[in-house]
Amino acid sequence: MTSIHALVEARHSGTTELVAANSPTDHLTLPLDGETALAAPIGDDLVLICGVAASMSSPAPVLLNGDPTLAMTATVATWRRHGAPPEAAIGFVAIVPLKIAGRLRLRSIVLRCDGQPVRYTLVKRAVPLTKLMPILSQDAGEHIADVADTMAQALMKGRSNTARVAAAMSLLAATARNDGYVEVMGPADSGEIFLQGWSNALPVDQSRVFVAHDGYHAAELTAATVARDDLGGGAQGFVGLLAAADVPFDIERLKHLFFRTAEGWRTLEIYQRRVLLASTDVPAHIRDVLPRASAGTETLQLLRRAGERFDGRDTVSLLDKPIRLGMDLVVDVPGGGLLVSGWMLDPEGSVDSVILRASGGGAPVHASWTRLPRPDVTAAFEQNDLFAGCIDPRRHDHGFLAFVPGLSSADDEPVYFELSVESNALAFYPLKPVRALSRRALERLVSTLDPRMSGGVKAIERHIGPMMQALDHPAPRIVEMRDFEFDDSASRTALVMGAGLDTEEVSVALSLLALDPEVADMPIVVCVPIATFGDIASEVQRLSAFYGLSVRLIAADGVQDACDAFEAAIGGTKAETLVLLESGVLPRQPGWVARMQRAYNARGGKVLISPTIVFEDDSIRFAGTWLDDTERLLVDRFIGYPRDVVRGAEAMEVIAGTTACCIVSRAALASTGGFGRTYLGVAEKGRDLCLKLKLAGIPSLWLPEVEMVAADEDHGGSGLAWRRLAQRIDRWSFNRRWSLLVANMRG
Amino acid sequence: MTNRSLRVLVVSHGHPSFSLGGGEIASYNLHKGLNRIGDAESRFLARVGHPVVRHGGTALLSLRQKHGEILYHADEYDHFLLSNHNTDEIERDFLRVVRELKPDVVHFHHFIGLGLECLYAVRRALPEVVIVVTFHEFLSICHHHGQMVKTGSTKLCHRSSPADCNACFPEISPARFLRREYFVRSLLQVADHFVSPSQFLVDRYVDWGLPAEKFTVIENGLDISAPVEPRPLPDAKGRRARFAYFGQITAFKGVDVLLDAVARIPESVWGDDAQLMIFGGNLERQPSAFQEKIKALVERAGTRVRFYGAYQNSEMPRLMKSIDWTIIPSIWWENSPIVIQESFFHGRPLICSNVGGMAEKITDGVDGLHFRVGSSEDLIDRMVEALTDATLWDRLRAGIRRPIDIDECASVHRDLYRDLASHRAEIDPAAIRTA
Repeated sequence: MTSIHALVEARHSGTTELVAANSPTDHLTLPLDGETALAAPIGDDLVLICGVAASMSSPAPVLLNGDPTLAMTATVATWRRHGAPPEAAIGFVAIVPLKIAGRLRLRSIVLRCDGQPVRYTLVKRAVPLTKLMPILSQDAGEHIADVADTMAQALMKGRSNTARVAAAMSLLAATARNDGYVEVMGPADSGEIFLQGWSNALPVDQSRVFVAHDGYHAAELTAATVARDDLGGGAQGFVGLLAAADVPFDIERLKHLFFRTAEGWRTLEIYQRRVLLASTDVPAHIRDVLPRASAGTETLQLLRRAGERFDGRDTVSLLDKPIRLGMDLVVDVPGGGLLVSGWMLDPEGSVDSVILRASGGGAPVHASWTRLPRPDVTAAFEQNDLFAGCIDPRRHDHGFLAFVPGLSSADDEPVYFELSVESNALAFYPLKPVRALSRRALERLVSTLDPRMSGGVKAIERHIGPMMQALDHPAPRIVEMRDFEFDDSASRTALVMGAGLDTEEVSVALSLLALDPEVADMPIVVCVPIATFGDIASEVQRLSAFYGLSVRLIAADGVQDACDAFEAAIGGTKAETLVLLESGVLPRQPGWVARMQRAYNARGGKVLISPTIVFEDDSIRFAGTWLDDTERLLVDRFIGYPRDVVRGAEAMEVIAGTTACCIVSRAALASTGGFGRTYLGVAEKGRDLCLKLKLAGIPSLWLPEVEMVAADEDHGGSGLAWRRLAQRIDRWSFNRRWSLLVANMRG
Repeated sequence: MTNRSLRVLVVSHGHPSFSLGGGEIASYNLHKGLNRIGDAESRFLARVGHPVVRHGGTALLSLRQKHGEILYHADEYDHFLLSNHNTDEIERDFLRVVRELKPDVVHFHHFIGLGLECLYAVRRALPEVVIVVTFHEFLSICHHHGQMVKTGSTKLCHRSSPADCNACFPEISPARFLRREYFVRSLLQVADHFVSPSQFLVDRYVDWGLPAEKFTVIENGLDISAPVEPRPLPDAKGRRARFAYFGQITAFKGVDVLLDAVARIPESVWGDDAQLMIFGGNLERQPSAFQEKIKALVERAGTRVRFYGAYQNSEMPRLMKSIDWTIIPSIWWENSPIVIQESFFHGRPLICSNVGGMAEKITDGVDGLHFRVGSSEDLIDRMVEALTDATLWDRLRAGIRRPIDIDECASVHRDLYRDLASHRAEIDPAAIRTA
């Protein structure tokens, strides 16, 4: 035997480190002198000590290096050594936790057994666990499984760390016998993993297992045996649901499972050509196998429930109870959260809960949703046999709207509603979320709301508003740029036109600009959504050539309104001063830019100047945003009044101007970070920007001597309702941001 | 310029050889008159379009017209904005003519089909040229064929606005109508002056936003050599009982009102000698509901009405020989229908609706009779008067003043051009692009 001692060094940090010996350990055997022991460090804070003794019990007090201040308690696995002298009758492995703050060179330990301390000098050379097990196995013979079991259990007790679990698992792997295979597996939507295969000794009902999966993890397996006639010997089929205790399992990384029988640890391997099921296929598999399954009542009930889970079908419409559900819109809101809007008809109140499930997560929506009137649903089902006599014809609150933050439909996982019906049945309704929340989709959604009703207000405050806040509109991005005689190198001022989808609007606006000599000579930057670029580019080229305009046409991604277009276009010119103009805003007279420029220059460029804008019927659309001192609210003063009311008015500072038409410094705009993207309409976006500018020392000035004209698009009809709602939603968002500041403003 | 003859380019939306509308005839007559009166030299450029086949490389063509007449093919026309999208050809071909002719005056007799851009193009090409526009109806103001009659009814429109126009065309937003109004008006203001054959039309355009001082009323001149004699009556008891309708048979022209009135005049009044003679066509191009209505009315009127079909303007004197009265039952305002001058020229009193250009040109009880627009009852009363008052026709005929001929019309225009040219010379050329 070599005289070199094993060294275990414990450091101040509390971590330990094996100082590996230089000599090989291949020829080591279990020391039988009762004074020497082998040491196998596990990770930084545990060591296994192996030797022989006259007697040994567990747990056993331990002194490291014989030092009473380094007292530990070890779990000890023992085996009887047949034919050995009495002083070496017991072989042992002590699992010694090292709870040490300082550095320590471990040379010996004292084990107290039955009150008698026994000192063991440690073989200086540390033994890796993989080498230790054959040594133990050789000595313990048939007892090795029990020893390994005790060791494994001790290793997995208490403070768990990777090294310990790995050590435990390697003990199990070294000693546990293969007992069968998992042939079919799939994730259940409730988070468990469905397993199907065969085994000789897998316990039925619930048992604790260890799963090799990027390391080893404890889990609960609830299994039932399944009669199979394709297996020989004592093997049986099984189905089970594996529930992770801590981390969720990735089914693809599952390697094998350890389970314990009366005879020790066994493994279930994953069959190399196993079948992986989609979550929606799992219930059908369970339903298929359930008639042949045997287990306790609870287990069978659990499996039955799992077989009733969502399998991709709409089972709400199969319910024989008067419950039906329909969806109008499901949006995976960019930025996070799911927005659901639809109706549920449940006149008898049989539905206990409605849970929205997506990507393994779920959230009850029935407690927070806003119910909305849907008389069309009442009317549609009034004559339906299933609902005969139970629909109250005066009650229409079947619609609902809910925004659920934190859920998303990532990874192609199914998204659905889970309805719990009268406490004992589940029904499901698949949902198909759209990823992008287009303006059109929003309009469709909002068109069902009535801001004058409490439901509408609640919907805004609880759902639409927060959704808008969460909505992560990407900043508009320039995709393409085409210049038509464009040159802004010598111009301090550029006109920036923000356009939407209407080519005619841009054409007319450019033509009118061309007819004003002072504007016709300015560089003009026109920004349009990429979708219209193709149509509009040839038209802009034609107009630029015909009218002799200097135009840069920018196509940008993420442009939903003029403000987005402005934002993109701002990066498209070097001019210091920008005249922003929505393409729907038309000059009433030539010379309007010069007047705005004069007022702007007179204030040193430290101002945002907006003109009066009138509607097509000569009523006022914009004449400054003012503070209503009584209500402490911002109001667009004079809006809707005949334009005569501002005749003769002088230029004056207002709380906010309008970005529909204004002159402002490019640097000032850039310094505010541009327009907020959580608004639906341009009015509140502009107002928000003006307040940001005001905070940055750039006030807004209303210049009534300049008058522009603009009509509302989408006049009347659903457009009006949409605008009203959008204004309400925007006002909510605006107030959340600015109400404190506004409350402290002086008019 | 005062020492040499004025060079004028008359631009028309159509050539009478291809399209016999009032505007086309008026513009062509102006061109002819200017060349005839001296001190002016006119060229005529008229728009043609589908189905006339054009040359590939140029929009210009002559189609074997007379010297000094040029045709210009334009088809990419936006009827809503009165805009020509083919600005490339305006610059290449239309402006080539303008630059080479170097006119002192470009007179647009309408721009439908040509596009308002032509005005701007001329202004840019020749900053000092005098641009005159003649209005023939309310197309700039009203998208409903410039008639200022509400769609879906025969209700007259008294004033356009984006909201009112949207009520007529719900599929077109007020915002688009606002754009139309500003676009059309702004481009019109590139012109120096506007001519209208009626004060009524001037008032409408001024109310719409064009400056009153830029307007002159000049009646269209007639190109007729001599008036025809009154229709010879068979005997001393013969009545002036031949009524005529001249013009297209469209919903705006009120032919249905006229037919209804004729059918309901008592037989004792109508007699054997009375007759309604309809000279005009295009009924087959009208909406089927209107065609059915007219057919039913004609059936009811029986032999009282006779259809003579479409006619050429040159046939007018011969047609006038066979009639005593001209009836203009239009349910729209009209501007100055040439048939009024023609009837007056030949000494035929008129019975007309009491609105717009008709009421302005025809004085009730002096040279004609008015009836309430759209009212067949009132028209019956007027026709009964005409049939029963033996001296009425002569009295009204005596009240007719001779309308101007094309030479007189051209002279008035020439004088106007000279005024405008001398005024224009005082204007700062830098302001020329100001609309």
